[in-house]
Amino acid sequence: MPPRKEPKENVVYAASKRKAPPFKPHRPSQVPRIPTTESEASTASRPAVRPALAKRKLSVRDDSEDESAQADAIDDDDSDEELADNPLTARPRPAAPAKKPPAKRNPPRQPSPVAISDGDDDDAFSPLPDRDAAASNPPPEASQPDSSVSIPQPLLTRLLHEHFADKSTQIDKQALQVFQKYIETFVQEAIARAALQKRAAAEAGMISEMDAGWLELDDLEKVAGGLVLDF
Amino acid sequence: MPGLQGDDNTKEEKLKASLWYSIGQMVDSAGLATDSNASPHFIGGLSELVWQQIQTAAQDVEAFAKHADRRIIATEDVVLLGRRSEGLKTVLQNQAKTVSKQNAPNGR
Repeated sequence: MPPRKEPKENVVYAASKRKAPPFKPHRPSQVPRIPTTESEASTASRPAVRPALAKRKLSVRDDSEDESAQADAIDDDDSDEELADNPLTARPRPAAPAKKPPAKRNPPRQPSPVAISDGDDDDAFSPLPDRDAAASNPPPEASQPDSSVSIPQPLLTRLLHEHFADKSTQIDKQALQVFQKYIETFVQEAIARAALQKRAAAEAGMISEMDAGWLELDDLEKVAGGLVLDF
Repeated sequence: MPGLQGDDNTKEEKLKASLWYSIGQMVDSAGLATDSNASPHFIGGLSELVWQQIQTAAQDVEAFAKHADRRIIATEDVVLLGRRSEGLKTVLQNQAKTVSKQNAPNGR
């Protein structure tokens, strides 16, 4: 019969209930927050800015994400000492191919795996338009290999390091571009040889002319041996 | 329960999937140029072939660099990959020249 403490509890519940609604609009997806930087403006609603969470949805993209992040970090670390220490990068190179890697200067130099430009390749290969924002952050490099399609450099770096026997082995950035060309040549040669084989078979009457433009696994198998021997 | 072995397998699978995708794009662009088409099996087989080739080549260039007492693979090591084929050697040397010319002016 004496009034208990229920009214108080009710008040507390109501207060907490009342608190919830004003909290919701603070979620980033519902409130248009004013972006502070240019890149943030275009990536504000994109979940991929958190690589840890969006990891491995598209490994090519994630690779480049990691690479670029790494590249930024390490460039910041040793860019000044590299410029000061390394005569090869400080002074303009002669016209001869850069065949003199800094053998004596191994310690201060961080070669390719981190110094790769990801913008060029991603622009060319990624079907996702939101890469533009990230690609515009690092300064665009003039090292566009060529206009034709090839394996993206971050992926190639990862593949190479996967197969190195010694984990401390690293690859020069320019060497990686040449290696990219090597693989590109390999693939084009495989396709060309398979197509040639197919056409020869069609002319010999073993298959119909209709199939001549359709490359099958059999065609690849027939030329694979010679191809691998030649490379 | 994915153990260490399981992790390795998934990593390799993901790398192969990425490679497959890239190879698919290369085959598609080549197909557009030559007005031919390729079956998915062709692309898969080619991806496997390229995977093996990258493995061989990676070990080769690593050995070349080691032989020169280097820990970092340089352009000349990769150019050596084309030592058995005259045409390939030319292609790689030209590419090496192009790359070094591209990088020389801006110097970074």
